Amino acid sequence: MSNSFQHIYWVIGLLFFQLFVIDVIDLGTYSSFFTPLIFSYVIFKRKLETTVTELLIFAFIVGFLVDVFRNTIGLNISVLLLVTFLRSRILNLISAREDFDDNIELNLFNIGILRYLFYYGVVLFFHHALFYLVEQFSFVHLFSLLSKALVNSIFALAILILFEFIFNSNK
Amino acid sequence: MRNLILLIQKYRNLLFFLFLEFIAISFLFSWKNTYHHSTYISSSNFITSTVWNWKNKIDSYFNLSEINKQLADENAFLKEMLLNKEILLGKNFVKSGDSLFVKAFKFQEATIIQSQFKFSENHILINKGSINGIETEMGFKGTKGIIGRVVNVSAHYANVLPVINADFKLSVIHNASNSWGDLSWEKGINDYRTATINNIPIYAKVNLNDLFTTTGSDGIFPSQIPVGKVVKIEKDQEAQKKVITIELIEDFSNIHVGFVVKNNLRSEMIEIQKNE
Repeated sequence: MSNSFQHIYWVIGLLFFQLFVIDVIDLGTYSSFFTPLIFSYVIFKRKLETTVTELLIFAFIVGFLVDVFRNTIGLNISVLLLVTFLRSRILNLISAREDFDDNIELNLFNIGILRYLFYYGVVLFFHHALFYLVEQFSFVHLFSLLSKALVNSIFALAILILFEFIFNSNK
Repeated sequence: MRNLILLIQKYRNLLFFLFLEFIAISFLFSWKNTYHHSTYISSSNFITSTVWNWKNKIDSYFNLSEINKQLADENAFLKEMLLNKEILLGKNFVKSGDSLFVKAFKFQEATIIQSQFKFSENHILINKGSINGIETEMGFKGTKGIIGRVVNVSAHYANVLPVINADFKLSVIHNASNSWGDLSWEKGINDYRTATINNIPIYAKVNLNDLFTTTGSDGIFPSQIPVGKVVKIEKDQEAQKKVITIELIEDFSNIHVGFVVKNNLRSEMIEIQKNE
């Protein structure tokens, strides 16, 4: 039970940071290169033994909350659902099955810095690229879209590592 | 039958995913295709707008000097206009209640409690709603130029579709040459400082820093409200048109107050346009 409370705290905390800190930072012309999406962490960090059904419902709720605050209903839900569904496939692609234990949370201190960077780098880039693609709804500016996704996923990774050191390091 | 159940069991994750994704995508398209989507799943609903209001209450204190400056600037501008007008008309010649001087436009002050500027779909939330007489398809003007159009209203709040959203379209006029053009904001090309104007004829003489203003033809805004200044001119030889990039007068990363514009004569205007 305490576990599910922990998830709720993470959702509230990350949403707060996303909406009230990241979204309002103004970097002039380069503002579109600082729109990292960090709330997906609450889904990517879930244990491997979590069922896909549970993850999908969780993703739907988180996506809905973000959408309703940003007034883009459907956008974040659809992208987050797709990334959630593909999470286990991506995990299988980048590592052998026995690399991760089934019952640990996938945070920095449980899986090690190299695998952390690799796993989160790939899923975050995937999430950002899909998000910008659905947001723009065209392939016209594909290069700027991909560079935007790359820069923003690096920012997101940096912010998440900072959060790991603040909230997860004592375990 | 048994095989069917086994099949469903085997692909239950995929089916469940497709089911949720279908709901999400139908949300997405119903929102993209109509401006009048449900009030309850937009940011003007009770819960989210209350949260944005708290946030605004906290950080409006940090912006007080900026808000003050914006209002003072606008005040000075209006005073100048008012004084010039009195000299031009002469008080004695205007009969009060003259039907020529029916007040077409009314302005209602509103505070911007949430504004987005760095996405491809930007929205603005203001703290006036239907109990203040706000309706959809009213204009929203900042202290310097136009900001957008009201698209969704709840009791105490309203959503504004700003110029920096690809769904926003408006006809604008080039002041120096009186040519009409179409204002739009293109994803991936324009950022929050710029917008694009199409359909200016190629023979119109447009210079850098020329001002574009509203036409008043759609009945949402009065005419002559500033929109932006020319920063780039391209020629489309094939269509014999000019494609002009303007810098918007309003800085969308730094807007705090604005005015909802109500046109009392708009229904009359639409009626006449229908009969054409």
